[in-house]
Amino acid sequence: MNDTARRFADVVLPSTSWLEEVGCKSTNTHLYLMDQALEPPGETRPLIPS
Amino acid sequence: MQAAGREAVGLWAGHGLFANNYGTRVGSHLLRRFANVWGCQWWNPTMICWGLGAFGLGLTGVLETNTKEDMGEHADLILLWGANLASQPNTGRHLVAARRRGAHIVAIDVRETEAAAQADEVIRIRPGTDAALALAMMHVIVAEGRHDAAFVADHALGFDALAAHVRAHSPAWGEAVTGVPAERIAALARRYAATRPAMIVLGGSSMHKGANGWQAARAIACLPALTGNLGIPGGGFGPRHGSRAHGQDLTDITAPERRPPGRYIPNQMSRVTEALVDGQVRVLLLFGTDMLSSFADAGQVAAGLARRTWSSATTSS
Repeated sequence: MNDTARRFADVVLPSTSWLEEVGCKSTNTHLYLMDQALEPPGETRPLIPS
Repeated sequence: MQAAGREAVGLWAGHGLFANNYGTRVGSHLLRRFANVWGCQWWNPTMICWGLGAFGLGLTGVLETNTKEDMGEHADLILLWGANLASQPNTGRHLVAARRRGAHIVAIDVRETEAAAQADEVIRIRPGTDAALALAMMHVIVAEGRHDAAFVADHALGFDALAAHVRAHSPAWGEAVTGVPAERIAALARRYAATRPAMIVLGGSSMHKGANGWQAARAIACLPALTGNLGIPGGGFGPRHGSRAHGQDLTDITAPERRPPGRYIPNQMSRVTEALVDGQVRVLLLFGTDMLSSFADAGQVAAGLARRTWSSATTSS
């Protein structure tokens, strides 16, 4: 947990990191599907459910 | 959030959620859509990164970039301006292809970067003096009549004011500021003006983050316009972090037209911090970002966040 969350948050909601959710990345010329690579740990939830 | 009222609620993604799905920024766009539809505070995460440089480019009007493939196939001169291959490795092989084709490559940087190994010429400048180098180059180009007068007349605004401004910024002046010998500045300016197409690959994550980096971006962006290097294969600006080529655009789901009128705090760190301290923002949602680390004046941010009337929520992305 980062410094800001540790020192000041009243509520902390655990979220997935990019490896734990389906994503989409774009470069100047291509769009890439980024498959989920890891199981989300504990109670983490992605912002966009897949 | 409802009890506090929409204008007292702020959403800040920083580089956390914003940088997930980089390029499409789907998550960040959903947050922005929420902020627009409801009418709460939302600040552009690029303000902690390359946004200021892009602001400078936007003021000058050269936002679109040419592609790396175009650079490899067509550019005859490539100025890597604060752009290091180590941080933009996809560009590397196209740079090598350009060099094999015979393109001349100049690396302008504050140190000998990995890009310097691929360059015909390395120009080391003092940190934060990129604007001065661009002004001195323009001085030479204008004073010696090497600019593309027809292109400037047809497509540019403000040439007379620019010409008057750069008169005082000679290569000797440039040498005193940048540490680059005056004759090297003049030679670079002449080479840039004489070679077409010539491409500038700007470091979107380097000089844009320094003090007044947006002024450097403004100054450098005048160079392709001055020499008619815009709108042609192998010219203009090369690929840059956060940039898009012509025609590369994705549907916008942020619904800016639905944003109701409100007392909105602008995209400026100092104003956002002020709003935390004076209580204009009383509920803050942070999405995977460490605000204390990424904002300037961490002490003031901490003072704002420490106010006891807070109800904040943080997710770690």
